[in-house]
Amino acid sequence: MQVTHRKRWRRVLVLLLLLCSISGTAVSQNLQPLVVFVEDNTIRSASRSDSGPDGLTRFAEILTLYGARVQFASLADPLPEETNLIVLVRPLVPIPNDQLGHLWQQVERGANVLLALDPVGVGVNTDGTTSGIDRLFLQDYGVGLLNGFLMEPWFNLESVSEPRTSLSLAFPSEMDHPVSQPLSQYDIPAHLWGARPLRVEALGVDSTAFPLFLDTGFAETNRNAFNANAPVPFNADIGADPQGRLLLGAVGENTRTGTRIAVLGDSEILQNDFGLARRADGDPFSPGDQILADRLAGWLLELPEDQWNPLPAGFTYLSVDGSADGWNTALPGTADAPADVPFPAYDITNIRAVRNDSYLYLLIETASEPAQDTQVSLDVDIDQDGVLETRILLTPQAVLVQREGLAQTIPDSAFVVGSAIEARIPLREIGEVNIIPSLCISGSRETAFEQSPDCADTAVTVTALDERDPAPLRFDDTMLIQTRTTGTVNLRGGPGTNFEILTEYRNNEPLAAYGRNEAGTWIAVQTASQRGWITVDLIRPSGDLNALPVLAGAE
Amino acid sequence: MKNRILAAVVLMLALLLVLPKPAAQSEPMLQIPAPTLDGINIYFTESSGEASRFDRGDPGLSRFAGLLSQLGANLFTLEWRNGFPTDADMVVVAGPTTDLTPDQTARLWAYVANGGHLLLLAQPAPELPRAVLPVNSPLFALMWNDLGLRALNQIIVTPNAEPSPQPEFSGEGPTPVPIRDGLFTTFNAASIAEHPVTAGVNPAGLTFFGARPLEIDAAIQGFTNTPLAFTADTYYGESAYTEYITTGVVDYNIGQDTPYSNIPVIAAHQNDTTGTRLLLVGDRDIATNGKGFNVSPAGSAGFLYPDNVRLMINAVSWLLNVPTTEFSFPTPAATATVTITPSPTLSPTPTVQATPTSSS
Repeated sequence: MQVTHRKRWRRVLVLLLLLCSISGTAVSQNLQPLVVFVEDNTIRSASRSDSGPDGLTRFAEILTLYGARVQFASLADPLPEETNLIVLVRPLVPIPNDQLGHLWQQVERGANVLLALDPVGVGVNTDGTTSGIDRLFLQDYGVGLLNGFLMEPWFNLESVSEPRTSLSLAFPSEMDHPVSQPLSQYDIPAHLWGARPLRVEALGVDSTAFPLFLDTGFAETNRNAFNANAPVPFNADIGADPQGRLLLGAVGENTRTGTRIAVLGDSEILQNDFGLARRADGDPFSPGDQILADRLAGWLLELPEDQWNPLPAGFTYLSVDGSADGWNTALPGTADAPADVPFPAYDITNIRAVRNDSYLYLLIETASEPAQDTQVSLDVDIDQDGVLETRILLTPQAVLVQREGLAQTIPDSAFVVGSAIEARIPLREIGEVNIIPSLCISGSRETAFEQSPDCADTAVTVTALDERDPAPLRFDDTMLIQTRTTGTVNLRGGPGTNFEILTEYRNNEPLAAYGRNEAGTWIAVQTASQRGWITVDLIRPSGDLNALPVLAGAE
Repeated sequence: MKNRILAAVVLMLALLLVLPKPAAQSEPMLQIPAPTLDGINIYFTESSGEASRFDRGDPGLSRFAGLLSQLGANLFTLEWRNGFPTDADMVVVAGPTTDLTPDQTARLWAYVANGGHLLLLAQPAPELPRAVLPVNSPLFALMWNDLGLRALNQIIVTPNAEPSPQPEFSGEGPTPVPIRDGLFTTFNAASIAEHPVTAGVNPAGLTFFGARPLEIDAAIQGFTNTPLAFTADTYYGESAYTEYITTGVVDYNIGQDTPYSNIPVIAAHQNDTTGTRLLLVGDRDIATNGKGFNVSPAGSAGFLYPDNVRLMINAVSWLLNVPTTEFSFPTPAATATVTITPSPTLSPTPTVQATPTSSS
């Protein structure tokens, strides 16, 4: 009899435990935020289950890794009441007004929204200024849509007809926001493929808004410019086209509802084979886009910042801000004798230099805070023939390379004097050097006081890091192309197959084109690490290649 | 003992002196009862040509708004540019004459679907050059999809005379049916459903002045749709009323027009899960000063159509889920009569063209 009782109690206990575990599972499921991707044939938006180039599986993965439940829904019906985040990427037509009602119904229930919206262009006709979504977002969050297709000077109708050939770089805005902070700190651009400008009203009655990244230029609003049958030329119409610094991504918060939105003026940022494309080794092609996607997801899910994905591994994150912060003090430095010049501000005490696959980073510390007019000169022997044939001159005005009596500015370099002196120099100019034989600092006072520069007592050791730079391209005024190959593309030392192979690229590698040969069969390209030639047959041009200058000696 | 009795009598007399006297029974009954909508915030939309609560003219809603104000409600005009008010207990959309903008629709819908209370008076679209809030407008698309309720692009009519004998007609296409003396668009409800909104309303006195038929899915769902007022079965929904106004020729089209039947003109939607309550009326003039809230003599509170007034006040009470208000109506007594509108002067009188004959 007692045994039967025990058995009964055991059964009851097991049943209770079972119920507890079931209810526990249900509770934990309910605690998971629900992300709904709007997928609808009417608006032809991108899909979270499409693993193809235009799909969003990689972005959905980020959300899942953050612990969200991800599902899709159409706006033809009300969204699930427990939806925390609505993701609407690349609708190709305006959002029908009744569907907008369902979207807003959920926003008023407290859902956040991520909207990535391409501009009106070839085959794309999306919402614009004064549309329903524009008015709602602008009024409640301070983020609105402007009309127009971001035009780079080299774009033509053919290039803007295809996302892959309308690549632009957008740089982070000065306004710091947790989402874009690493881009701002490390000067990392976002890659965009055909973007629209946004309007951002930073301060509203019950809203705050922040721009995330921007580009300079104009946005073509004339729809006829995209009419393949009878196109009119792209032209910046004053008064009609947005011009100047165009904001291309923004976030907004409404203090009344406590809801958040993020609007991207380009949908490709979040698509598998564009912004979230990966190299063969798994590293992101565009770390800027990957960082944006990671951080946008975390911010929109309202996770604490320490739970957001860390910055992608394998990249060098050094901020050129004139501060020793961020430098790995374990790396060897090159000490310099103190008090060897009369002015402490120009008295070098320690030098650190590291290089990754694209840039050389330099930190120079002085006996007292360096003067703002400090200049630095480096002499290096790139070809290792015993002659210091290249001089890099870093001044507050510009960074120059002097070689064979010619001086040229280096547009993607950086030089900042703060509590210390910091610089970033592309390897294509300074080479993959392991030592800097000569490094001196001086100032404009030199003229007045006949001050001698302080030079490093010994050659500066450069530590080679096995890391990529998060921004191998930091050009904003050069035609950007991408490679097109099923295998590899050779970068050669000259315009022909008889020239040496400098390196090889896989498909979709972005490169900056700056010239061509006379026949137009070879294009001169550069990145931070390399400069060379590539055959025109294996690239996707983003404009008229004939507009590139013919380089001397490349006939 | 005597002392105790005396003390008690004195005490009673003292109490009689101290206690206030009851109100005289002969005072007239208050026409406006004690406020029952105290602290209630009612927002009126006005940016799309709706009847205005400030308008004391015939198209205005000043009398309806005045009654609500007398009942203690706080009335506001909905300022769309400020976003949707968070303190709205009820919204009145009184017959917009232009479509709501997409963002207005979205905001209104978010309010309604998330437990709001909406009184929507739909202007008969065919009276205007183009359909306003047409059946496929975003608002009605949402209402039909989510609530099973919408107003059709028609106007409820009944011919006032038998069609003229068919003239000789030969030719291709449908045969037009000339109407000799016009169509009735003003009518009284033939029947009403039992509902808090219709409590105390006499259907014979409930008057409409050109109304849109409603389409209602009253099947068992997660909410309740109740058609409240119906026409007589001698009415149908005319789709081509504008054409009739222009040409004087009307053609009852089977399959296109709502057939002769008891057509619903008012419907109530109630969702106890979300808290949503919506009343859709196919006629905005049910509450305008010059029609449903007309008075006689002018400037008095003598409503010509007291049942319209009673229904509208009931509607507000039901939407807000507060006890309804009992009214007494002063003279004149209800004189709700059917009037004929419009009385188009057909100039020139449309006639069916005779088949051309061979000419010399």
